[in-house]
Amino acid sequence: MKNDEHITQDELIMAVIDKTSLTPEKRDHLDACRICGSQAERLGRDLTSLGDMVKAVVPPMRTAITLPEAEVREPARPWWGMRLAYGSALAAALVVLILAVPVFRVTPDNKMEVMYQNILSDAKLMLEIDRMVEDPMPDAWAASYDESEAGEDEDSIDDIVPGGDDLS
Amino acid sequence: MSDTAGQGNVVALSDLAVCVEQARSGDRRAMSELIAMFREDIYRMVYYRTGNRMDAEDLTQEVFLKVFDNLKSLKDTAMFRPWLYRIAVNRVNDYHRRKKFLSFFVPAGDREDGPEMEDVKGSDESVLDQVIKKEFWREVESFMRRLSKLEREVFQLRFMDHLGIAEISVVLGRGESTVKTHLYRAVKKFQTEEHLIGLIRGVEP
Repeated sequence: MKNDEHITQDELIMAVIDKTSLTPEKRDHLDACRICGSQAERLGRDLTSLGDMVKAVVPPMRTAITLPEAEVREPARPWWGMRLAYGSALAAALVVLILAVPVFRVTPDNKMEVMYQNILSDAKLMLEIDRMVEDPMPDAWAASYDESEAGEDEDSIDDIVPGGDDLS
Repeated sequence: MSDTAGQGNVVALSDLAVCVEQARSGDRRAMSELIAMFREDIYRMVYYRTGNRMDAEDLTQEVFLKVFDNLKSLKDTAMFRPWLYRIAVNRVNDYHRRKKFLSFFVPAGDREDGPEMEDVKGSDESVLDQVIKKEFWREVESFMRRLSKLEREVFQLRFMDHLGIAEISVVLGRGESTVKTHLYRAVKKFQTEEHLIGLIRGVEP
């Protein structure tokens, strides 16, 4: 770079933005040349003054900044506390179930109906007991006898079960 | 909202990184310290972009709430400052998007054009000072309108918010060379703002 040669306007801007983006030769010139140095300084000062003046225009802040609410942590419950809680919840659920389902609920309105249901259930049970006393064989056995053996004659049975004569 | 980050009840914590680390672990004193360090900067930054004191205060509050909600996600505590500004820039962008959307439903006559400057009127300054400030702000607004969106953001972050090139790069998520290019274009346009530069030089000591 010659002595009477100065840096360009573009280089001047680059010098203000970031001096390191200039070549070492240009940087040396900027440091040495009074004209280029003062131009760069002038531009830099204008930009700094702009920032300062804009700052002065801003009205002061009137409200304070508030912090977010602190997290409230509950103390840890003992292990039996959890069991007690679950047990209570289960008991409550059962009570609700009993109260909610009409079968479990005896009220003045359905008292007769519940009694009738109980008598019917008892009678049904007694009938079942009587039938079992008279015919203790399961139904399936009785059915198989009816179908397979009812029509067979005595001879065929003799083939299977030998008579007293044959044994002698 | 329980605690107020007032100026008096803040315990001094020397190092920003230490302060951020303590705030991450839920230390409310450290949070208050961070607010005290940056509240004015963030408020001003938002005010430059909204021109409205009340909106700037509300947005500043929102920025800090978001900061403390997400502080645990900040991996490098040394990056707190650009991270904070990034949140602020995003909140301001949301604000403008919301305002633009609402403007479809607000009659043209009811809209606010430009900064309100209501607080300048109510201050103790002389009428001449107020007029100069108003005139200056109008010029700044006019200059900003000449810039592209990215040029304006880069210029404001560099010369109004005083962030470095590397920090701006983090805030905007752009490469440093992109930041420098847009900054270069913005400064080139600034050089042609004779009236604005005249006002600046006129009040210089």
